[in-house]
Amino acid sequence: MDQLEPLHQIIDEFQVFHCVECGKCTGACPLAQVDLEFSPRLVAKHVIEEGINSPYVREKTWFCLTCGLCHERCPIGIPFAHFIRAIRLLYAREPYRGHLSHGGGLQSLMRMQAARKLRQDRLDWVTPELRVSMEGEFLYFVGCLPYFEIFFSDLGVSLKKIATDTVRILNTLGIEPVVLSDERCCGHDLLWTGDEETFDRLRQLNLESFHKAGVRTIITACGECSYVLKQLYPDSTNPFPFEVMHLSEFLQKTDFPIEKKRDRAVTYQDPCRLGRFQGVYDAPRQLLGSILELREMRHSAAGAWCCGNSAWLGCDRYSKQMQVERLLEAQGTQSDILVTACPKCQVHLTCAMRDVNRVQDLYMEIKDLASVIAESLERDDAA
Amino acid sequence: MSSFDNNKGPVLAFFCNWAPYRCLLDLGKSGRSLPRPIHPVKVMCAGRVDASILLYAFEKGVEGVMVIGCKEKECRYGPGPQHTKKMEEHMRGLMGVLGLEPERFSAMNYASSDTDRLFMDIISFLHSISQLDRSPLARGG
Repeated sequence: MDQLEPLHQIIDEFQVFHCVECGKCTGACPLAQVDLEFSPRLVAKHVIEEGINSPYVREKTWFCLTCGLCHERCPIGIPFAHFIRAIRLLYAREPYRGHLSHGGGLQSLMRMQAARKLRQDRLDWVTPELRVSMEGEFLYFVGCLPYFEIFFSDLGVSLKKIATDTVRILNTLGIEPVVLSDERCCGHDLLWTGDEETFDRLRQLNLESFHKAGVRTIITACGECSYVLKQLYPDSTNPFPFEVMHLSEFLQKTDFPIEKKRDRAVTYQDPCRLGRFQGVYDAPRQLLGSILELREMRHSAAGAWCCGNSAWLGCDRYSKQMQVERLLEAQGTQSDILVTACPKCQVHLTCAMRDVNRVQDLYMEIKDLASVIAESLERDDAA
Repeated sequence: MSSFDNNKGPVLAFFCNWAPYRCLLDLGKSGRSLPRPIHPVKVMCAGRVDASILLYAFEKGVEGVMVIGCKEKECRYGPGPQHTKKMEEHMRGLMGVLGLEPERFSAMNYASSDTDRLFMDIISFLHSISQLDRSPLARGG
């Protein structure tokens, strides 16, 4: 009974009582296309009727991709993904908190970064030709790329390249971004797997580093980092003197020199945290469209389908099926490259296309937005 | 081993059920016991111990971890030692970024007759950890 009060608050806050049970959420949900038992509407209904001890809620809360497509379609506008996040926080003290993929190792890495005494060495990707600084106005928030690079080295994706490419782009603009050797994880995945306490510690440590380095503008090349820094780091009590931007938003604001060379076609996978959570749809498209020929997938922009997982939670056959569907959609555009703006989308889709039985149908080149832009600079230099 | 401060956190040692665990039994028969900080964990194959398990141990504040497996061609299941080798590579990389000293981790292979070598290696592993400060992840440390 002691859980009744916070639960009611959550139902109130997210206006779940307003659900008209139209079922549009289930119709749109990428997970519901493959897992016939999953339905956002039913989760809402069971939460209202039985609370969080309902077996259905207990299980499906952790299945939700939190991609926010249902929110996009909901006629009432119930922010279902955020509602799920709040419910997950109620399960914070429970032994079962979803099935963490990769043995929970990634969450361990993130929680370790919350230890104040830790002295990380995360700048080994900074090659001599890159110009970076210790203090200054612009900060490049790298995120977990140095860890992912090693963790996913078997996949053959170079995630550190996103970081080097981003700095190269900023250098072209005459910016020598601050990169922190002791930057911490933004905490996104911990918050979305119900660990608010560690999230707060990470937030605190990061904010301290930002203040110490005297930065004013924070640039990230990751949809999740920019969402968390922009929307979840500010609180009502303290001033938040930083402007947070995704690389694509930043480049849109500046006069970035891009040479138009439409010799290859690309298609763009909207990361949920960049697209639906922040409404950044146009900036990456404008950049891509000005470099290469952009072809849209059937589900794109606000209706984009998920890459299959979020917060390193529950990678299963449903994820695989969604990833395969998504890759087939990308193949259907007859594009040469699949571009995304989130390292996790890249990891998930690369993993799915490496299936030995389906590699013939599914394989296509996959790149981060930063890399595509940086490579367009290279061709400028050559010309 | 007397130099190892008992107030420090534990050191986890994963023993493969086959050759290394046989060494451990032989150690007991010969009247030697494992130094106090060592917490042995028996697993069926050292190849099963992946980076996530070790990261979790470090997260919980252990001072070091050892993964003790069979020799390359003596694995009962086949690929165990190769898995361990790959995992070691990943783990060393991740520890490097985290800023954890490489001395805190060892992955070694033994035959069932290597009891003495195993014992000496454990002692020297503990000795090298004792030269370090407490783990930055240790509770209340």
